[in-house]
Parts: sequence; structure tokens; C-alpha cells
Amino acid sequence: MDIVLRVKQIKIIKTFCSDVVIIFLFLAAIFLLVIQQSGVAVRHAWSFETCFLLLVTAMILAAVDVCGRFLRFKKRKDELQLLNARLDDIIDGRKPKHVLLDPTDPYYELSRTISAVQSMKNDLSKSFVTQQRGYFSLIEYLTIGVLVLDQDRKIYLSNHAMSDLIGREMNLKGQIYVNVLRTYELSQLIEKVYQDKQDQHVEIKLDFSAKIVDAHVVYVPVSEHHFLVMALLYDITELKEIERMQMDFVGNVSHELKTPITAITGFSETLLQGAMNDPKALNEFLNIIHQESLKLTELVEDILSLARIDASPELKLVEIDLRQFLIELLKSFRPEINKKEIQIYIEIPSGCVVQVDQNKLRHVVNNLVQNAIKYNNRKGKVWLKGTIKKDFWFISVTDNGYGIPKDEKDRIFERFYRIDTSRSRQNGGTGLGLSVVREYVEAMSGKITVESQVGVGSTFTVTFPVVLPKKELNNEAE
Amino acid sequence: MKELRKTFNNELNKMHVRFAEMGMMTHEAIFRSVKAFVDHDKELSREVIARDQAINECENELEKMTLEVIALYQPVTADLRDVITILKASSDIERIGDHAVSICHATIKMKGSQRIAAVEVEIAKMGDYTCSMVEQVLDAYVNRDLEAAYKLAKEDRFLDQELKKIRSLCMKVMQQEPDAVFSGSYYISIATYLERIGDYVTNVCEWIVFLQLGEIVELNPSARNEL
Repeated sequence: MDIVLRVKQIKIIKTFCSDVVIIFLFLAAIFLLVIQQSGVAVRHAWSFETCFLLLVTAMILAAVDVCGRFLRFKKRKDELQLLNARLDDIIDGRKPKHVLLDPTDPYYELSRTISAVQSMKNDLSKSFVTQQRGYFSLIEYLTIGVLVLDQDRKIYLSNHAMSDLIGREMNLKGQIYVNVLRTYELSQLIEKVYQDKQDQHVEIKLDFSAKIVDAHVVYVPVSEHHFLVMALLYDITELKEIERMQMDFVGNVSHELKTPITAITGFSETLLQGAMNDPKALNEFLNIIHQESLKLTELVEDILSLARIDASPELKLVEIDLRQFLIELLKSFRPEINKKEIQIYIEIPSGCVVQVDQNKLRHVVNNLVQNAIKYNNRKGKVWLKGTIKKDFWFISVTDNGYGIPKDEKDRIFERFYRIDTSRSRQNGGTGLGLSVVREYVEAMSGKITVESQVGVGSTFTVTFPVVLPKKELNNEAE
Repeated sequence: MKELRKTFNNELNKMHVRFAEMGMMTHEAIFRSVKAFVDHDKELSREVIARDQAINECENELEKMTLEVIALYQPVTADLRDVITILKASSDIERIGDHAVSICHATIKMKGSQRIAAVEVEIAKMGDYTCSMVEQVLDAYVNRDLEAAYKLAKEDRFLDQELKKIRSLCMKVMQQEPDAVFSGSYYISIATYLERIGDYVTNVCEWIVFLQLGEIVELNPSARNEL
């Protein structure tokens, strides 16, 4: 500040001095001309006093000039300062005050241009904010996981879907991405992009959210020395699942259908080729054919019942006592229970009366109990629990048998799905049981859940509301 | 001087990224090994064993990088602590990876043997706990979070108790059923591995304290004697 003041002073003094010199020379020249015209000798007229007089006059005139200049300069400066303040306001985004200038003022044009700039800037920033809002909310609600990194490997932007897919909060702006990310494959991919500056694309299985994603990591050059890295994760878990389910379904159906058909064709062919003359073989083969056809019937029944549920959701509600119902139901399992020496514990208080579609519930519990026995070790145990809570009732079937791996827990309800094909095929069954169970439970507005650990056992719980939703009741009334 | 500082920071960043990647891999390894054990998944176990090589390589690379940085830049004070901590913590983390591999080997060998359901449940619980501890310690490290480090070191006690519980449970079952001895002995070793992982987590916590305060401390010193 001090220096600025000093410079100003020096400038004023300089102007003053040069003014003095110029005016002095000018006055001296005029003086000489006047003397020459009047005919007086120059030598006489040119004295020290005249010089002093001329100098003082020059100094006074120079002082007047400097003062005038200074005042004009001051006025200009004030105006400029006002305009400048207005520009500053525009830059800072404040609403600038209006500056009114006389149309004759030299800065009039400038002030008008500034006004134009200001209104243009307003329009621009308005549309910018709208665009930015739209852009950010678009990214936030996108189902694709988006992560944008700057060139220092810091997170610039990340959306909700990304956090969901990775299984931890990713929206930590300014953090270095390796501090937050816990999936090595993805981090490796991103690191590769930083090194090669080339887009990468790979399919990754994310452990912590159990999702399969199609990962694109893109290199985005912004300017010569600046770039962004964008990671886009597209969740293809469901696609993969559907793809696999379709494949499995076709494979399983054809396999399940083919086995009994092959047996029937083979044995009937043998019979036709002459074996029917042997009464012993005839009897044996016919038995096999009969059994295989029964299997086929069972399979077709199962498939049909799946189709039927989709078509007709009506329920025939009756009141039953849960304990009584289950004891009755277990009677049909007597031979299997005795064969495997399985112990059954029924932990249901008597007097639990619920309203339910008896046939459907029988089908559900039948299937669950059958599985609990089938996939159990010799001398295994099965617990049947159930009771009425405030607004729902449940039945759970627990066993200490083989158990189900974590990944396959959701898949067991798929049609024709089996966990360990070799063992399950030995145990028979169509592979449709649980999918039919789920359809039935859902038709009764219920829910089925599984808890299981391999080697420990499984618990299947079916939960139903005490009061069924209106829709079903209406259907009933019709 | 400024140029030197810049290159040093670059080196430090590179090391930091590598270290974080190693942490990721180790966390995945322990997560997968616990999952493989719970699901009796031989395939997944083999995968974890195969991937351990990458963790070991990462450790070697980090060792090389830290030594180079010390030799070339001769860092002091906080910079030196940064470098030393990476060197020491990476070897602890590598050991965690090794234990994950041991768990996988045990899982493969156990396949098909007589199981003890009660113990499996306990180990699954212990495994999940250990896994979350590893995750938390990595977070605490990158955030330089002293509080979290102290808290984690205390939580290690829980694993010690679990180990004791599993051990006595296994002993009891093994005495009653000779068939269960094979799996029982493996259960005990798996529980021990998990408990050791907890100890390594505590070690990393100690390094976090060193990084922040410059003091070499022993967190949780009494735990060892109780066993």
C-alpha cells in the first residue's frame, strides 16, 4: 500500500516537473518572440528576474494543470471502481447494483456491455444449475453403479447403486479410492486404466454383495494434462440367473422326462421281441414299466400343479387345529420314519385354531416334512414347531440333516433345481417340490424362509397372516 | 528440494496404493475362506489357495519399494514412520493371508468327514467376526483412526474366548464319539487360525498407534498368557 502511494507521489511529481519544463519553455519562446517584435535587445531583456518570473508563472500554471488532471482522474477512477465492483459482483454471483451513467460519459458503452454480460451470465448459470441438478439426480438414481475418479485417484463422484453393489459406502468425495474399495479385481482394473490409459471391460463377481457385474472402466481425457477415470458397474446377476435357470430347466426337464421314457421304451421293446413269452420276465418288466409310468405321472402332475396355481388362486378356507392336523399328516410318513429311525418332535401347543386352505397347507407341510426326512442322516431328528402370534401364525420344520450352502439357499425354490445332483437323484423326487411349495404359500398370502448351514441342518418356516388380505376373501365369496 | 519432495510423495502414494490392494486381497481371502468352510466348498478353497501367491508377491514388492525409498530418500520423522509402518504392517497382513490359506487346506481335507454341528455354528460366527475385524482394521489404517485401533485391539478378546469355547466343546464331543476326532482336531486348528488372525489384527492396530503417536505399544498384552 505504501509503495503504491509512493509510486503515485512520484508520478504526480514527474508530471508536475515535466509540465513546468514544457510551460517554461513555451513561455520563454513567446517572451523572446514578443521582445524581438518590440525591438528591444535580447541581451537587455533577458535577466535573472525575468527568468524567475517566467519560472514561477510556469510553476503556477503547471500546478493548476496537475490539479485539473488529478480531479478528472479521480472522477474516472470512481466510475471505473463502480463498474469494477459491478463486475466483481457478477463474478461472485451476487446481484449487482445498477450503475447509471450519463449517455455522454465515455464509460457509458462499457456499462451497457457489462449489463449485457451480466444478464447473459444469469441465463447461463440458471441453465447450468438446471442441467447440473438433472445430471446429478440422474446419476444418483441410475441403477448402474457409477464411480468417477480424478487423476489423483480421488473419488469425485459416486452413486447409490455403486455403494449397494460394493457393499459399503462409496460416496466419500476426496478419499483415495483404494482406501474405500474392498474388491481387488475392480481396483486392479482401475489401476490398469491409470497405467495404460485405455478402457477396460471385464465381468466381476462381487463377494460382499454376492452380485455379478459387468464392469466397464473408462478413461476420459478432459484436457492435455487432465483426465478422469470412470467405473461403471452393470448388475447382471439376474440376467445370469435367468440364463442359467432356462438352461437348467430345459436340461432338467428333458432329463427327468427321458429317464422313465427310456425305461418304458427299452422294456416294452424287449417284451415285444419275445420276452413276453417268459411269464417271469413279463411280470417283472410290466412292473417296471408301470412304476416308470407312475413316475412320469407324478412329474406331469407336478408341472401341472405349477401351471394351475398361476391360473387359479382361489382358496377353500376351513378352520383346523394345527397340532391335530400335523399329527394326522405325520401318519402317512410312518414307514419312512421307521426305516431311517428318525425322531420327530412336535412342539405345538394344542388349541391353535387357524383358518386355512387345508389341501394347500397339507401339500406344503407334506413336502417340507418329506424333505426333512429325505435329506437327513440315519437316526436324525426333525422338529415341528408352530404357534399363533399376534397377527400371524407359523409352522417351522427343522432338521439336523445335510444342510444347504449359502449361495444355493435362494435357488432351491427354482423349478427342477437340486443341490447335489448325485445324491438327490438317488433319493428320488422330481425337483419340483419346493417350487410348488413356494407357489402355494404365496397363493395363501404367506411367506417361506430358510435358515441353513451345511452339516448343521435346515429350518424352513412358513408364515401366514391370521387375517387374510381382502382380495382372497372376495374371491372366496364369489 | 521441491522436486525431490514431489517424487518422494509419488513413491509414497504408489506404496500406499499397493498396500491398500494387498489389504483388499487379504480381506477377500479371509472372507472367501470362511465362506468356503461354512459351505464345505472345495472349489472356493482351491481358488483362495491359488490367489495367495498374489498376496505374497505383493508383500515382496512392498518390501522392495520400502527399502528403496529408505535408501534413496532417507526419510525422517512422519515420513519414516509412514514407510516403516507399511513395511511392518504388510508382513502382518501377509500372515493373515497365510492363515486364510491354512483354513482352506483344512476345509479341503475335512470334506466328507463326520461333522459336529454345534462347533460348525460357533466357527461360522467366529469367522464372520474375524472377517469384520480385518475389514475394520484396514479402514482404521487408511483413515489413521486411533480410536478404532484401540477398540479393535480390545475386541480381540472375544476371539480368545471363542477359541476356548470351541476347544472345550470339541474335546467333549471327541471324548464321546471317536468318529468325530478327525474333524474335531481340524475344528480346533481352524479356530486357532482365526484367533491368530485376530492377533495379527491387533499387531496392525499397534502399528496404527505407532504411525500416529510414534510410540511402540503393546495392545492387549495379557491375552496370550491366559491361553
